[in-house]
Amino acid sequence: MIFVTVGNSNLGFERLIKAMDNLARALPYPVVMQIGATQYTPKNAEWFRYCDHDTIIEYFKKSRVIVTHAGAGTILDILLLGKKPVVVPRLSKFKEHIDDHQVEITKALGDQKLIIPVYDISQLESAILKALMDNHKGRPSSTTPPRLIRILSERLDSIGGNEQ
Amino acid sequence: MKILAACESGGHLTQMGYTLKQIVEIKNNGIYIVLVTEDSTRTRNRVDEVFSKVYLLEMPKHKNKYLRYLHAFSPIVFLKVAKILKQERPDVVLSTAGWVSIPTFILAKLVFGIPTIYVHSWSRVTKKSDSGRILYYLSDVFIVQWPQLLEKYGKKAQYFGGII
Repeated sequence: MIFVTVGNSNLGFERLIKAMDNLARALPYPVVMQIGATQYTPKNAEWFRYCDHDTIIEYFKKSRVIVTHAGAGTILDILLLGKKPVVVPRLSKFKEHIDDHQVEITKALGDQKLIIPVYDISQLESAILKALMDNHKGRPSSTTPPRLIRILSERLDSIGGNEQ
Repeated sequence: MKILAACESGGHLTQMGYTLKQIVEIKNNGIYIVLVTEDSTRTRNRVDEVFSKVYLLEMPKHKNKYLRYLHAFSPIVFLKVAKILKQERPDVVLSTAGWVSIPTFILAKLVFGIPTIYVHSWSRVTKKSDSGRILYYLSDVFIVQWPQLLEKYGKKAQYFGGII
């Protein structure tokens, strides 16, 4: 399965859903889309609007390729599963988001080779095929918590008082 | 220690859940977490086992970002948050950003005298977020997840790496 997600947003993502629907029949795996508030409804793929967090994680686990908007939470969940998603940032000029911060996170994570970025929707098909062919391995899962979490834990103790 | 976690749903909540799950693991026990977030498809059912209790605030109906932030300052929201803080009396308030953190920090810091920790969203690489712009002044600890943001904020901002 190729799974497409646009996250929890109450803004639609017409560009991505339309482009994926147009591609769906040409792709070697069935496409399933979580479309959120997108008005366009897919004709060539299975779709639904929203679901709970556990359900979306199950979809991520079962997918051969995940195509996502550049929502930080969604990308975080996918990276933690050791997968490398195709990421299409929402743009404010198409009223897909309140600003263009999704372009920034896409660039930053693209530079770190953690994701496959798509800035021009016409490049979506080649990005998906690249993801399928390369059989991309995501980041190795680590067992030690990141430094941010360790320091945050210390700060919580010093500031909130440790009652132990 | 009782932590009140305040954040928007979507990516903010994913970051909060992931962060706190690891902190609970580090601390082993003695930690009780209450969540304040917004009412959405994702949060209406079960949110995450790391949160012992979940309070839901009505989601802003507007898609325009300025009107969304007007919602954060509405008297109904302030009253509801004040009631939660009075009832829960947390040792510390933790935020991973979004509009929900604005009324929570204002009341926690200025009315209840509860210490606050703000973790800037991983999705923001080079630009300040709307909640960060305001809550920088109401945070005892202010952490950014990308080094590019250190100079954008003031001396208080700290960087210890990202969530992943």
